[in-house]
Amino acid sequence: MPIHHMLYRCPRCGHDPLDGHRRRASCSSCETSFEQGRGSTIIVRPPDGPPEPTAASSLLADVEKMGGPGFGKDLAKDLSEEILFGETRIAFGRAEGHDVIRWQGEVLGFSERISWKGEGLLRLEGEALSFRPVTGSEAFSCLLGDIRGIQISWRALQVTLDETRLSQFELLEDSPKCWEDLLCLAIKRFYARMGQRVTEFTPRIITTRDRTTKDPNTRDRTRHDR
Amino acid sequence: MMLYRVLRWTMRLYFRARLKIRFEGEENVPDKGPFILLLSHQSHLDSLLLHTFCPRLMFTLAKSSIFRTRFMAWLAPRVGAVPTRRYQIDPQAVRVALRLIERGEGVGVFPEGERSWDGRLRPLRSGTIRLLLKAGVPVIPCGMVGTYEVYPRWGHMNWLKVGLGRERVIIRYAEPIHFGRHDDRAGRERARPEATTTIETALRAVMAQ
Repeated sequence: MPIHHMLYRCPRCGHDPLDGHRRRASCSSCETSFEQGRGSTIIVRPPDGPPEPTAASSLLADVEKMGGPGFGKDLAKDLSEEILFGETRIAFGRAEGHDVIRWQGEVLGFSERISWKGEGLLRLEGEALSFRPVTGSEAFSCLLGDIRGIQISWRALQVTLDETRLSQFELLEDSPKCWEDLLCLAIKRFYARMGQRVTEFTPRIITTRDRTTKDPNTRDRTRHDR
Repeated sequence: MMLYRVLRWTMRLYFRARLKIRFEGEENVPDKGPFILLLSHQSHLDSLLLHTFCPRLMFTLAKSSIFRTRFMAWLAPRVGAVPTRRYQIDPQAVRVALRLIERGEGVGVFPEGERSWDGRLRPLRSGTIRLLLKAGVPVIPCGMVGTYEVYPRWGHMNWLKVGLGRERVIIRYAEPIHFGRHDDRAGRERARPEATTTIETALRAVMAQ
């Protein structure tokens, strides 16, 4: 996975996104470049200073401190709340059936069969996630409250809408980690507005009542695993 | 398991030439009888090293997407990989894991469900904790120290770099933890928070440099 898929935002100035290719990434704003050094070290090259070998964990922590994805945040018209949005080019697929994996005559498990529906634009806007096809004809849309689970698998963002319906968005340009973080942030805010706190995102979103919320009308919407 | 044994020996030769590997606590892996081995997932190398060097032949829960190609659907089960659909609670994976444990096999599980981005332990999945509480067999925390340095999730590894300048990896097995068997769901739910904390602490300890 290319380095800028992890460091999707400049840990120095916060510019989003970083430009990159495989082992190198650079910030077009502050002109700092990042290169994989030995092992998990990243060599940070500021425009006006010597190279600094830095632990990847510390750079990631800097990005987290900045609040995750930098793009797609804007203030709503009444200036009371930040709304999240983002748009990226993806290949859209759906799990349609599964292959049975056998070993020594026994069913060992199942592997989902992804049926690709075409390329287009994935868009997150406020509380809606949608896919508009450019090639192919099948569109997709859902509200954040309908999403049951999120995870990334290689370059794809996987979203589950009910117990078993898996939609796969393979990101063609952007970082899957960035989109996972963005979507998780949007979902956290969605539930926070209802006085809920998300405790797990995979395999299912599990929420508990946020004890810090004082609203007496807030119901506990915890989803228990089977 | 013939192919598994052949590949194990081949990979041993390769990894010995590629990495400086030290083993700690191998005596904690029982010679026979069932157990669950819990690994913190730092790198693609973790499962390869586990299957290559663990004193026992292992079965490991692996993400179902690696079984998508015909070749991998044929190969992976022959080297001990059990498909798990990570995007849902996969009852079949749980059934197979419990069946293997009943037969006295060792089952490897990555309780975080995915590789770490920064080398730190991620939150553990509650389903894994429920599985080991239901199984009631010894749980062995295992740490692969140094695999993140060699091949982090976001990085690249030079597979041809053998000989001098090999990176160090420590494969460390902790003493088994016994949680006892919790047959009823209520009992598992009661025991889950404490078991989670115990495992997190144990995994951090085996991952320590």
